[in-house]
Amino acid sequence: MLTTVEKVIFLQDVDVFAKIPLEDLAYIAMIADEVSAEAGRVIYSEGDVSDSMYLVLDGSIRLHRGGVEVMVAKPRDVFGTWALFDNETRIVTATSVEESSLLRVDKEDFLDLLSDHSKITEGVLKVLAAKLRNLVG
Amino acid sequence: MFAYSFLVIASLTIVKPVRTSLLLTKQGPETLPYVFLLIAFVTPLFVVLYNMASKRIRLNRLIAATTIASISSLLLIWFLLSIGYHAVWFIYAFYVWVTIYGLITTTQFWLLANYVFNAREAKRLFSVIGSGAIAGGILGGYLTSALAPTLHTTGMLHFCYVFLAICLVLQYLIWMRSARATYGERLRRQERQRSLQEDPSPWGLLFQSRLVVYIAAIVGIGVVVGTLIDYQFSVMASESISDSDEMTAFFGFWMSNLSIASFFIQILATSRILKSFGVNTALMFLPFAIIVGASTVMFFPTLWAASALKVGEGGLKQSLHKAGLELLCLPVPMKLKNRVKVLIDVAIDNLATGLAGAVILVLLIFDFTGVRELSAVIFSLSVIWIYLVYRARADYLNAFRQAISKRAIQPEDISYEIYSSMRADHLIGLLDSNNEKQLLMALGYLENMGDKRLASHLVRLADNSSSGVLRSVYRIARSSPSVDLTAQAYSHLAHGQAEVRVAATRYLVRRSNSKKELISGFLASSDVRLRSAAIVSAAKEWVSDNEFRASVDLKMLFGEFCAMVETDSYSHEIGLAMAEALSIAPQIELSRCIEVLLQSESHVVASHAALSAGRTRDERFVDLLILQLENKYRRKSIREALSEYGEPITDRLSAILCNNEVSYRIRFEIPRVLSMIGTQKCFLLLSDSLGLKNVKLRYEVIRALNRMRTRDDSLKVKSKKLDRVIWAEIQSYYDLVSVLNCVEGNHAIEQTPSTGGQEFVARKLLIRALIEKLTDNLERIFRLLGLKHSPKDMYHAYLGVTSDASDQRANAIELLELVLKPGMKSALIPIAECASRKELVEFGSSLFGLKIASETAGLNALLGGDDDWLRTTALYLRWFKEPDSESHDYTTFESHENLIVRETAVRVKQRVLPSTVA
Repeated sequence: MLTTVEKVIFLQDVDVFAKIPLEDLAYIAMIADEVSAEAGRVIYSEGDVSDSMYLVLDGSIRLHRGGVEVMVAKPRDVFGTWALFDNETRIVTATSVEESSLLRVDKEDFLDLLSDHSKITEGVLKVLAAKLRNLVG
Repeated sequence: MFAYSFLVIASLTIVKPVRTSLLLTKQGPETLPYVFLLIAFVTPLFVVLYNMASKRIRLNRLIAATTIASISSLLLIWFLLSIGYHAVWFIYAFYVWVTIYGLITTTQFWLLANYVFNAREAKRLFSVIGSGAIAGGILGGYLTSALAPTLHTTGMLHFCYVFLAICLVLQYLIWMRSARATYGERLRRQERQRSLQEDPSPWGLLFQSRLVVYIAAIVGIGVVVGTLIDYQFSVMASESISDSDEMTAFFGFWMSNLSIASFFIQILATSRILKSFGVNTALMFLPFAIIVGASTVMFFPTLWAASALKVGEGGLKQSLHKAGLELLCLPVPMKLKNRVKVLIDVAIDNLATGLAGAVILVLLIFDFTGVRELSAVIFSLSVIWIYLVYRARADYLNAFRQAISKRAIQPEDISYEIYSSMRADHLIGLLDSNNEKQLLMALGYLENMGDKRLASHLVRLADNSSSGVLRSVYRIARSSPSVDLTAQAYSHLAHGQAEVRVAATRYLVRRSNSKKELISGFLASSDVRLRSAAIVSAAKEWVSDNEFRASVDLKMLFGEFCAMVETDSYSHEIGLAMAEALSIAPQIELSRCIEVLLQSESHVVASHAALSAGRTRDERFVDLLILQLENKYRRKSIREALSEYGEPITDRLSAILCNNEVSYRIRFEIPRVLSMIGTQKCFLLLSDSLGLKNVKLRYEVIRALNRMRTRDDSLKVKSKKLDRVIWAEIQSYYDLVSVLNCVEGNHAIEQTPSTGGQEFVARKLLIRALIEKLTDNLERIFRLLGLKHSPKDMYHAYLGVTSDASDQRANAIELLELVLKPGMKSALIPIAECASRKELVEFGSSLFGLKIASETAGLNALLGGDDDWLRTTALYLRWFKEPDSESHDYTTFESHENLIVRETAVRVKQRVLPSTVA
């Protein structure tokens, strides 16, 4: 069982959270649940409603679409990030390759947090703005 | 820079009359058109050469080289003239040289200014520097006028090279003191930008916008007419004056007058004319004045009339016309404007000068160069000029429409109030637009302007599909008795948008002779949506219409609905309408109804009820409102409601802010409420709370004080107390730097996560937390300084200090040097200068006697400090750093009020003392 601080250590490496001060990241850590998945378990399927983001703590998760592997998420890799920001359905299926441990951030909890913690919103917007700027420039 | 601009323009105003008088007396006025053509061909070549040189040579060297070349040229010219050398080619070359010299020296001056001042300083100082140029123009002209008869035309050149020699020294000093540091940095930035941009032909860009084409045409015809007037003036002067010294003095005198005229028109008339007549009409002043002047010269062909025409043309061109053109360029997209500006300023200007030369040559061929004939040509061209300005009007309006819909115009970017210079005609034109934003803007401004033509458009606009437009239309129609929208209003009573239903209802009530009966009828309707609209409309009319207020008892009118609310048998629509109505027209007698609505499950209803409660100022609601500050969906309205109570509740709010027993979330909202009340008492109460231990709460207090100070700079804080708080924050900064220095020292030893393990990760986390806290600390220091000094200045200083750009940091340091008292200055400047950690630690030690010598001492300091997050990360690092130590007392933290501290302490204890926990 991870402490909040340990969850922060993992979450600080998530691209979209990179500009959030650690102290505020602790609030995200507090809503992040540890979940485990035995080998072969489907975490979500293509076309499912996007409702959470995952970070691999241990093990590996295979992301595939129509039988074609897109990537294998290893420890500290993140998948399903954009579920936090839009209502689009999942575009890949995520299946646990081995016994895996994941950190799961629920979209509703995250949005709730955003409305109360301006520094989190500011941090996320900074990252998105930087991405947009890179795309344009 | 003032002295530099003064001397450059003074030398230019001396050398210009010299060249003109030499050409006229030695070669005759008939040679002028050839010189104009020569200028058109030669100047662009020099500009290209100069541009090529500027890419290869460093700016300071280029400026020094051109100034030395100019001084040498002037000495050579003086020498040749003094030995009586008056060859044709030499006189022509001298004339063209002066044009190039004028172009390059002024360009170089502004280029240097660009590196000396940042944008903020530029806004403040460019007008001062501009006045230096005007003063130089006046002095140069009068000096020439007064001294040319004594020193002779050639002798006037002594002033020019002496002035330029002084400029050379000034350039060196300016470069070394101000421009050198920023030059390299900006150059690199420009290089980066240049490599990213494609460079399409500027001529192609010119034709991307019709407005730009018109601007170029207006500038071009202005130069042609100006050159013809100059020619006419020169010819008439040379016919009346034969002595070259006398002629030099004459030109100098009139150039001074031109500068003075330009100065007075700029100060006294430009802004007024633009405000009263708008951009297009203002741009017609110059050609119209030329028409009047040319007609005068036609009928009274005297040198005085020609001189008056020349002064009038020059004076208006440099002031009103220049400002008008600046405004005409306003809706042109910034990117396009920046690219075509050089083209218009240099290429179009030269082409037009050449064209003027060609026109004069053609006139000479047909022997059409008498004063009257030339005046007729000037007259005719000015008529075309007016026509071009007239035609530009439609494109200006279109470009404005586009810029407004793209929100490309920022009023603060321009030197004149944009809307006062936009004519009502333009706004009336916008009423035909299909763009909602444009329509709403036009309706809003025309309503404020009270333009009577607006009424005739309302009937058509009442069919518009936008609810925003419909609301505006009914609002305007309520005070326009001549407009009848009754039929449309009845049809809008069933509109899908509640705001439109309310607007239509209010319009019908306002027009009705039996208001009470009409509203009662609506309130009794079977359509709940209409009843809701009638409730809100009744409240709005009750507040805004005295006649309605006199005839209606709102409590009676709402009686049935209040009963429904109090017995909890109301629908959402009615609850919402009642809450909104009572927030508009609060009725203390209906407090029970407000209380019920305030506790509604619907956030919208409760938010309106909160506003209503606040407006009644009934103290019975205060506790309920404060409790609801916890609810994030209602917080905004609750804050507003509490602020309505004003000073009577400020002591209560302050006590809550300082009470540790009260929920953090409620305390967090209090500073904002106090800032909204905004009185001096609130300011003092908040400043009394600056000592709050909780850093986040303290930050909220500082923010609230900043908001209040920005709104009202007359608010005063106890200076000594504030100084103490600032010093405490500065000391805290140095404390943190000291801890960071120790932790970073250990971090560097371990190098990698693989060698350092979990301890490495924990230390890295603490380092990031400390750096973030330092950033927050610095922000708090500058926010506090903003309570003592100008908030704007301190904000800019903060941005400068935290910027990566060295010029911005240097400006910020300079500002701090000027503003702060010596003690605080010496403590803050090292931070602003980004001194090394070691230097800061040493400085902090000497200043505050700090003694954090090791990481362990630093961790202990953090564990005993006020910051829960630093406490947590320190605790976490200690867990790995000293796993075997049993001497740590974890009990304090196990029962800590902060959840994360508590959780971390429990886990640390589990690891260090597993048997105890078990």
